[in-house]
Amino acid sequence: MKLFVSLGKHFFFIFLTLLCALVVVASFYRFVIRHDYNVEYEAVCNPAEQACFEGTDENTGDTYFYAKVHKYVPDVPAECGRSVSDCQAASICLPGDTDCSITYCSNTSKLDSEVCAEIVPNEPLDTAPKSVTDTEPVL
Amino acid sequence: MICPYFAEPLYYFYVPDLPGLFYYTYVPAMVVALVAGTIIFLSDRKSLPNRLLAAICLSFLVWTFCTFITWTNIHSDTILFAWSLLFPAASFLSIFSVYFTYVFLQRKDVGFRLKAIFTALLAPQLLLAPTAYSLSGFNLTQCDAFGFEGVINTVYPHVLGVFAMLWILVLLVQHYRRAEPGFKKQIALMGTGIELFLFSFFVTGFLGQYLTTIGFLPDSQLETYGYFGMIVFVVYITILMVRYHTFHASFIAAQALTAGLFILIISQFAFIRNSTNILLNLIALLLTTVMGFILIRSVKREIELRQHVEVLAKDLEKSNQQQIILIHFITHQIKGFVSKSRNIFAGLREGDYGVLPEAMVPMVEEGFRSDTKGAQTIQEILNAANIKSGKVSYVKESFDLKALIQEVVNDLTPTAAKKGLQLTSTLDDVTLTGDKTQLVNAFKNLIDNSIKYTPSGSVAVTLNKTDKAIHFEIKDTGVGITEEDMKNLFTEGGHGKNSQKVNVESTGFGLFIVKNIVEAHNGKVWAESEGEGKGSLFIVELPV
Repeated sequence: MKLFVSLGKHFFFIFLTLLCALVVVASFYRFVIRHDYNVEYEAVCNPAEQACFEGTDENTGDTYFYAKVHKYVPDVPAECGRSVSDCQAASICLPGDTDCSITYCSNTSKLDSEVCAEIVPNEPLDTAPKSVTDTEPVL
Repeated sequence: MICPYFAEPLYYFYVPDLPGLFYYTYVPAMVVALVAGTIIFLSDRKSLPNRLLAAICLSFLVWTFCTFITWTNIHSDTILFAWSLLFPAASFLSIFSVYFTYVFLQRKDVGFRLKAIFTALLAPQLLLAPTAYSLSGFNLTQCDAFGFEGVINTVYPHVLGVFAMLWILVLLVQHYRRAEPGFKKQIALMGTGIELFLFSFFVTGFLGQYLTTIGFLPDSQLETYGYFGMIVFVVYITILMVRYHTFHASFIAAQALTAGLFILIISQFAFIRNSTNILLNLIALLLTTVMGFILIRSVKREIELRQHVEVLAKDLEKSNQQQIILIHFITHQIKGFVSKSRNIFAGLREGDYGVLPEAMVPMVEEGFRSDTKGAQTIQEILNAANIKSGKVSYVKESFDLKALIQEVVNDLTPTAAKKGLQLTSTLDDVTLTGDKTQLVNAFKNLIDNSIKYTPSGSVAVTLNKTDKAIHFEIKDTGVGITEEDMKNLFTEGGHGKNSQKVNVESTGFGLFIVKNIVEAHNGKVWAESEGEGKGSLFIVELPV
């Protein structure tokens, strides 16, 4: 009986503590164990083939090209490991990907601070129409 | 996944690229919250305000620590996990602040209904925190989750924060109005502290997040300024603890304050690069150490002194209580003896035991008169003791005040005449609602007092009524009141310096009783005199 009285008196604290524990466990399970979320990253892009974004390495001053990939984390190929930006396999959307899109550079897709890479004129562009597409849909 | 453009932190938390201000605000705020929360909780684990204050500190600590992780870590899993706990912590901070304010102001726990409201307000944030409605993704390039947050993160906690601030403000104003003066100061201190804390926390947090999300700011560094609010809040709580013994933490609070300042100055070394500033900071550290030591020692002494005074005050109160009980006992017993003796004299006077010899009559008369006066004196002491212990109850009814005062004047006219005094009355028609018996006692006391202290001349009683008040005045041509005597006039047992020369039978309780009776009728009584030998004027003012 005493236990019930005590439970009733501290119901608010007990209930909220349990709820908090549940939130912590559920969040940990979702983000750390299941990796159930999307990531957006700068993936490898060939300016000769695609309308890439152009960036400058702050440390070396070198120019590099990228496209923005939006991918569901469990779909990121295992061979890329924990770093996906330099991984060729993570730069494309595959059939069966849960949620994947690639954004190339265009006047509509780029932010004020971003720059589109100039396409090298001598090289053939077999995907020329695609280069003006802002976002490549999920395959 | 890791953020490719950010370096792994040194010693898990240290990132050299981060601005020094970041560590200067986060580290002290976390330490202060941890130390303050622990001290307050451990000082009285069973006290609800202490628990709630500790819960506020814990919520703040969770928020700050999780934000700290989001700034320093580069692993998306860890950052998102920490990010998902940020906003439930902020919502807890708001709700615990409101809950704490209720308990602090009402000095008791809130009801089930209010607890249910608190739970309902927290529920959306808690239930949605682990879902995609809260966080759906992560930007590895920016190493943050701005742009992937749902409304439950970007709007709800801030709205709840503002709502909590307004709720607390309304509570503070409501309670401040009807609080006792001593508690008013505590309300003002606690209220200012908690409102400043919430304001700095939510406003800078919201602005930092909003301006970053819309791309106006490169990062949400602005919110770091808001963490100073925790230090401000702890300073206010410390003042409450030291000055008013709130939260029963007293001495430890001074130590915590010093420790907090110490940490604050130490953490400045994290970003100071200039040698002059390092020197200045070292001096500040030295001064804080010395002043902190002096402060702790002074507070310790003051607390010991106060505790000693409190013990003495309790002893004094106990002695007073015992004295009242003793007075009651003695006066009751004596009153019984005197009344019995008075009844015997009364019987003898009225011939119950046969006709008295001629020679005995003056002696019996004197005995009867003396016992009557004795019984009245004892009754006066008993009345004063009853008033002091709050045992007197007032039965209020509407009655004709003019008739009542006229009756009192008529009763006392023979006494005045015996002294050769002229007792006159000028009375307006006045009806009053009050305790008739007690007011008769008060008016009789005042008129009798004037007669006693007027060797020759007159005593004039007037009663008049205006729109705002009823005035009862007694003006005499008596011994007057000196400035020094005026201070003790209406106090318990307050004799004038020379009063006992004029009236040896004075108990000193008469005017004390009058004052209590008049004040019980929401009135006031005071005396005016131009000095010794210049007569006195006693005025009673009662509300209409």
